[in-house]
Amino acid sequence: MSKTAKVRWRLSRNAKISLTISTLLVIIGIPTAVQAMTLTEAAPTETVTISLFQAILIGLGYYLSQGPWIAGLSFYTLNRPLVAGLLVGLILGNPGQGALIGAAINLIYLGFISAGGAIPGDPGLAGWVGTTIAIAGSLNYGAALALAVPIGLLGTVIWNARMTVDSAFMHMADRAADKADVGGVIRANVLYPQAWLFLITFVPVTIAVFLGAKFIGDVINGFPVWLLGGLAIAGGILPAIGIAMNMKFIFMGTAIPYFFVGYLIMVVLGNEVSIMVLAVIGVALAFLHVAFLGDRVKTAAKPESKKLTKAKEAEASR
Amino acid sequence: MSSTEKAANAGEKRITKRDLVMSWLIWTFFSHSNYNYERLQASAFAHAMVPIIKRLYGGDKEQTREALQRHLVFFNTAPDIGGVIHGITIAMEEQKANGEDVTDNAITSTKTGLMGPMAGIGDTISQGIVTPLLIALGISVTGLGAEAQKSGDLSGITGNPLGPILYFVLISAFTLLIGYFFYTQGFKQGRSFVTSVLKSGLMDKVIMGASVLGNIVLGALTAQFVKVYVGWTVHAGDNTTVYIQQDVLDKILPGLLPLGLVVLTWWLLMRGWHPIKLLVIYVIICIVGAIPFMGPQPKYITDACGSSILQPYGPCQPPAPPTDESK
Repeated sequence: MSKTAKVRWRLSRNAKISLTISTLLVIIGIPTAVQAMTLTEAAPTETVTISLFQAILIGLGYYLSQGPWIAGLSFYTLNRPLVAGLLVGLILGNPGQGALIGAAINLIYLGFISAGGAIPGDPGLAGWVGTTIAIAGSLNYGAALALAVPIGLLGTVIWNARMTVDSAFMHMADRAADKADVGGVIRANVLYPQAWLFLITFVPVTIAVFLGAKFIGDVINGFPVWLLGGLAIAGGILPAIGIAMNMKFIFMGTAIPYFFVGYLIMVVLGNEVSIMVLAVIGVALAFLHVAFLGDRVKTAAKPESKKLTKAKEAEASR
Repeated sequence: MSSTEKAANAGEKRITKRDLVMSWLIWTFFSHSNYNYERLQASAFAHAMVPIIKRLYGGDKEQTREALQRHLVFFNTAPDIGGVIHGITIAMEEQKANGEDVTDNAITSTKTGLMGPMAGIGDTISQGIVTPLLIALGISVTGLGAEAQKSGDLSGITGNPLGPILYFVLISAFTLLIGYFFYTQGFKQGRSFVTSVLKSGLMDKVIMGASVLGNIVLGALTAQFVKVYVGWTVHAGDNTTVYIQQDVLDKILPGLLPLGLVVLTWWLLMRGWHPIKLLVIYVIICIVGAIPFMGPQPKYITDACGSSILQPYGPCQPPAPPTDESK
């Protein structure tokens, strides 16, 4: 009897802790976001040095982008360079620029899909550390993008360390289950893996950002002009990979012509259409397309699912 | 459906709304907390079942053990719409706890049978279509398209922080609403819900419609953000300079190179090329393309015109700077 009482108390405490942390984050988040609006006016051009406190905040942000504390939404939010860029910008005192750099880096990871636990690079690390270095070194558009690529690759190392070691906690969960220890299963699912995750995300990122960001920025700025030009060219070319990765999942069957329709709308109207106008046109066309296909949509969508599973298998096998 | 009513009539163990919401919350928060190569989301599934196990088997050590072990098997699905599997499993557990003939095997095979299709549909819709769409919206609100193209340099300009915030709010609302809907519907309607949805072809229609919209947006993003400019010029005769970009390529179709590049990249990816391999190759091509072997060293980034094969930010301007003619 006392055993079950203890277990129940532990569960509610866990739930309370997670809820409290999430609420705190939201409460802190809203005023900082509001503050961001007013801060946009000031655009300091001098180089930014990163204090230890700022480095700790960035490390913490990267941990949160991998952890479960934002209602499990961090994979869709903090892990995306667009959001990470804004937060890094807030931490370094220039949210507008952070958002812009994050948006640029996010183009490479537009088609980022994690299927079966295999990831091609880590957009989170590219966003958090890439934006930091770009702001600290006042890098140009292309250099920021080109730099984000190797950083994202390093993120794969962290991801693999996490996925591999977490397997050990599965066995702890097994042992807890053998003893009918509900709390033990919860600890194996939350406490140990999160402690490990904190260790492999917060510590290296904080150190790297504190000691290395300025240095890497300076090294890149010391490149000859033609090499910087090459990185700038890469800034125009790398989004092609992000877009093509996304196309792998939707550029299929009878939907293919619409890619060219969207492209031509933009080219003909000179890049001045807002994405909302385009979305309205898109929804209208999507409705017509599905309505005209009628029940044939199933056969039209068939090769899609087959290709998808094939792509997923290929990703998972890596 | 009828079985749950029966259970209620008999006054036996029933899952309350609170248990269901609690279970959903745990799943939403911790679905990837202990994500691992061995059994992926297995411990998260067991964790999400804790409120259910406590309600149904609380106090019975043997049944608690069996239930925990039952849910620590390999599991992996989409965290949002995959919740329908949890809903169904909870309904089956409730029947089992009330003495109906539901074997462990039936529960496990339901989970394993549904997790694949749900992961396929869920990943396509939320990761493959909705996220990129909303990211594209966020990027355009940030102002990357217009501003960055004008100056090419990010250090001097600031974007609109509302872009990321808008994206954050929209994607969170989408994920939570969809997740809650499927979790509770799975419990209320059971397996028939999933089979009826899969059979009706509704999902196929949704995916097809979303693919059309997604393709239009991807096409637009290609035009907006993929930039390939040839800086190569050919001197034909005395004072006539042929600009490969404006005089040849743009005459065929404006933006031929970016469009071709994206389609080529897609083709290579479909043939099994790893995106990281492509990234490395593309960066090398960009750097090689920027080597000024045809003309003088550029003094600033946009000065490479005529001296290298590729050119950043924009096409060469016809009134070429005199440094180009010196060669």
